Amino acid sequence: MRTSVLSLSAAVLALVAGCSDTGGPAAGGAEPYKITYVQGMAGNPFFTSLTCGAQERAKELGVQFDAQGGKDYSPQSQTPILNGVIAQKPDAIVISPMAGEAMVPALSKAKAAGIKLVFADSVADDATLAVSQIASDNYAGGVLAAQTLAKQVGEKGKVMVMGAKPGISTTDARQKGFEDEIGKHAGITYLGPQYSESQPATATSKFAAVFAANSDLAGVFAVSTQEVEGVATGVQNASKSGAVHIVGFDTSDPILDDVRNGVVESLIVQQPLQMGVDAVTQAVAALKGETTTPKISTPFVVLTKDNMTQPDVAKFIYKTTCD
Amino acid sequence: MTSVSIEEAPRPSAGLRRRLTASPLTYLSASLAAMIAVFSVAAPEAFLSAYNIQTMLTVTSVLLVLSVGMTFVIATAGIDLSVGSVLVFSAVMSLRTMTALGGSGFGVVLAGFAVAVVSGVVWGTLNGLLVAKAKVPALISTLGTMGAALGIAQLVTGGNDLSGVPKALYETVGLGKLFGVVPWLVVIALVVTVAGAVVLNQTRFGRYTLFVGSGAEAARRSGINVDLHLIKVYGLAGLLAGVAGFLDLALFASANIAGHSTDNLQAVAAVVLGGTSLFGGVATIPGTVIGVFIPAVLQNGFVILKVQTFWQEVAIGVVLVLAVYIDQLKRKSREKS
Repeated sequence: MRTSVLSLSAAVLALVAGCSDTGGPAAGGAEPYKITYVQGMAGNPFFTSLTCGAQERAKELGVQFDAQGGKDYSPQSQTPILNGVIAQKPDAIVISPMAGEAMVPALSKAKAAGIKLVFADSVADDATLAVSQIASDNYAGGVLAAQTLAKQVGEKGKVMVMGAKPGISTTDARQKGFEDEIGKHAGITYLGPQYSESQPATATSKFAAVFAANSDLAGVFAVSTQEVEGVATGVQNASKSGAVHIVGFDTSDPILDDVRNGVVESLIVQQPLQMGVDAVTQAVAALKGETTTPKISTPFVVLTKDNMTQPDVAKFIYKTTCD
Repeated sequence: MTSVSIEEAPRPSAGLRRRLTASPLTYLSASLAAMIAVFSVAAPEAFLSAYNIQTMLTVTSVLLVLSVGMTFVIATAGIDLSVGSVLVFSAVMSLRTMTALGGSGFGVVLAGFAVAVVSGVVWGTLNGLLVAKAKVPALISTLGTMGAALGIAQLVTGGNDLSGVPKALYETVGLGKLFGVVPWLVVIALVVTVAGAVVLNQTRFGRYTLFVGSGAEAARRSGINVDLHLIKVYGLAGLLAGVAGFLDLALFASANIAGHSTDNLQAVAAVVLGGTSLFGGVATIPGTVIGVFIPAVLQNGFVILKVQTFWQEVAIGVVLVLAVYIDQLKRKSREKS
């Protein structure tokens, strides 16, 4: 029953991706390298930004580039896309793989076919498959979120985590980082996590229940955009914007509005654009037989209402389309 | 059935339905009341706080509107898996329209509402045509439109959540309260629900819906235009999905693309939990209301009582299956007696 939806959306996405071919011919008349980026999911500002960075770098290096992604963040969506890309025999694949073992068989097939692999944003279980891995340390992002939230609540009071779905490696790592760090702040009581199942409405109702039971709730760490949107609605219904501090992760247009309106106080922002640039650089280096950097860790930026218009922060806001 | 006239035909079915559903409804209401009582005693200050009740009702309103439409569809022995995607599609079209018109006035909001409703009706009618005329089973046709509606919404937005909901909309409908107490979203959902109940129980449309559900062939032979009726029913479900999309815009002040993937199953679960038969012919809107609120209240109460989060899912699943199982037992014993 899922399959038909998936193939339907895959067909639609393939159509979209087909339109976004951008690579130019390489200088010197040689056949240009072909690099395809397989996104974690299509139409997510984070992966769009990563695509933009990769596309820009590909243009500079004269590489033929395109990008494709599944309809949701799952191995079931990503596997058929990756298989389709392998069939087109690109020289290299940049991929934001689903973590764990799920993608390893398809990735091994790609490697066996002589395609160079670069992991961007996330890492599959067999790291030897990739010539380079570029990722933010999501655990460190969680630690940073805890430090930011602790500061905002004045090092005292009750805080909670609004998680996504247990079992997603990136959000799990953020939560773990947050929990480990928040435990070191003596004045803060950690109420534990709730999970939104990636549905904003569920995030709103679960936040409401926690807030009803803890009217002195001081802060919430919301692990990704769905949770931030849901919790922000719950806080606004309570007319508590500003009193309950929200630290979020990643950006989207509605959430940036919430930051401007003071409902969400800080966002931990990654640098997907840079990941895209690095990924294509590494892929081309591997194709030319040059040395690659096996592991690159991209840093975070803390975005607030006060700094969001400064160019050095604004440039990290995720793109919904490439320029 | 074939020998009775059209006007008389549905009546025995309505009476039968009342007998069949009276008891499960009582039993379900009692279960819900018991849950509310337990949570109220265990955590009176949190569970019964105005904020908790208001927010729980507000968030559930959107699902309730979807579920009222779903009740009609399931009453015809059909199913509509596309409602969540149609909700997203309608919200996106509505918000895009309001953004294009610009400003934040009453007229803009009204135009947005009209677009949401029309978007919903278009998809619903398409579902109805596929089911009634093309004879594609409802499970498949609505699975197809579920993918297509979401896909188009993603194409339009590039998959990005949209902001820019007019202030007038989310500050009045989204955050506002009638007499400062009852959130407007709840009022709207209540109006839709009461209207749905009246239509199902008191009108020819409702009688035909149940008649078609208890046997399309019999209904056809009695002179009911079954195809047309099915198109209307799916159109109604689409319409309500459009309304729900508009309410969702008001509630979240944004159009969320990925956050409605389980709305369809939540609505089906609520309708079936409420005592509407998946095989058609038996349906109850009050039952659907209770079916929507049992999981919502359970989840809310569990979070307040700090029940470990994974158990919440298990418990809600068990309650769903158990409620339908007990309902089946009761039906069986009634049929024997």
